[in-house]
Amino acid sequence: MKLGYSIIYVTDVLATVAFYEQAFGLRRRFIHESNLYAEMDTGDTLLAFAGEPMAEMNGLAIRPNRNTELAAGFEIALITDDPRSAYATAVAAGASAIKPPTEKPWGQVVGYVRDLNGCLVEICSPMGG
Amino acid sequence: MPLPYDYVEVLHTKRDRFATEAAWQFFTDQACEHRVLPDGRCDIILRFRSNRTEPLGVITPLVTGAATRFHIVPIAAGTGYIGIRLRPGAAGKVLGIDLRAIVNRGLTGDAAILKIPALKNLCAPVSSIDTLRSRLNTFIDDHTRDLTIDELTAALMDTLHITGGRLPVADMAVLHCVDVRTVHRRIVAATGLTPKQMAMVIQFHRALRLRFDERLDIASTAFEAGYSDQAHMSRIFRSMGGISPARTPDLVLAGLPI
Repeated sequence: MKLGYSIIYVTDVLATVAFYEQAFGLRRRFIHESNLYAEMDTGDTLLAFAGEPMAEMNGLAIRPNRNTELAAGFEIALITDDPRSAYATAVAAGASAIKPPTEKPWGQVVGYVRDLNGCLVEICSPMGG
Repeated sequence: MPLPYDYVEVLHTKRDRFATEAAWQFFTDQACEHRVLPDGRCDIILRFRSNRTEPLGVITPLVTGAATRFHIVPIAAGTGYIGIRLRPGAAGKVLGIDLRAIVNRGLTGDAAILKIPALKNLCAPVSSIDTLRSRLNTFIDDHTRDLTIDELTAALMDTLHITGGRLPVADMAVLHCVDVRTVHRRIVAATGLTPKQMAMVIQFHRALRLRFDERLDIASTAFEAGYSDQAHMSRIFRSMGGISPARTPDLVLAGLPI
C-alpha cells in the first residue's frame, strides 16, 4: 500500500478550497458538482476535502473540526522554500497564528497555523533544505 | 435491511425540498404487519383502500410523531398508503402543533383533523393516487410558503447525524457556541424529542446499518457505534427495535434518511 489521499471532512468544501488557495497557494484539482468533495493539486498524495454529510453517507461518525474547538490530533504539513513568508501570507489570509516558523536543531524551519476549520497546518522548509 | 415489498420511497435533498425528507407509498394485497422503527421524524400519511391506481372509499389522514421505540402496525389487505416525511425544523410549522404532544403516538382520522383541521381537505374523494399525491404536495407547499430555515437548528441536526449520535449534548453546545439549554430547546421544537433521545435514535440506526448492511460482527458494531458493550447494544436493539443484533430482522421500515 501507499498513501494516496488525506481527506478532511469540513462544513464547507468550496470555502475550504478557496482558503487553501489563498492562504497556502495550493491549486484546486477537482471539485465534484455536488460541492461535497474536492481535491487539491498536491502531487501524488492528494489533499482532499469532503463535506461533513459525506461522513454519514460513508457509514462513518466523526467529531467535526471547528476553529472554536481544541485542534484534532493530526496535522497537514506543507513544504515551502520560504516558510516565514508563507506563514505571514497564511495568517494574512485568515489562518489562525499558532507558532511562527523557527529553526529546529536539525535545520528545518517549522511553523504552525490552524486553517478555517481549526485543523493544524504545519508550514515548513524541506528536510535538509 | 429488508424493506417490505411494494414499499417505494423517494428521498428529497435539502436543495430539492427543504420541508420534506421523503415521499413514500405502499400497497398491499395481503394482510400484514409492519415493524416501524423509530426515526425521530413526523409523517403525514393518507390511508385508503385501493386497487393500486385509485383510492377507493374513505381517505383517512394519519399524523405520526417522532418515536423512541418501535411500533407494530397491522395492515389490512387491499390497503394503500401515501406519505410525506417532514424534515425536522419544518414539521412543527407544517402541522401547526407542539411536536411533543405526538411523541410515540399518532393521530388518526377525526383525531388528526381535530388537531390539524386543514387535513380534512386532503381527504376529499379523488380519482387517482397521482392526484392525491399532488394534493399532498400542494398541502406541504401551502404550509411552508413562509417557512424560514433556522440555520442553528439545521446545523444541530446535521451534527447529530455527522457524529452518529455519539457527541454529548454539552459538546454539541460548545461546538455551536450556544448553551445546552438552547440545544435542548431547538431540538425539542424541531422533533419533539430531547437531544439525548434524538442522538440515541441516530446511534441505533447507525448500529443497524453497521450490523445488517455492512455485516460487521456484534462486538465491532457495539464498539464503533459507541455502546459501552454488547449487552448495552442488545438492550437498545430490543427496546428501540424489538429485535436482536444476532439475527437479521424481518421486514422493517427504518425510515431514517441520510
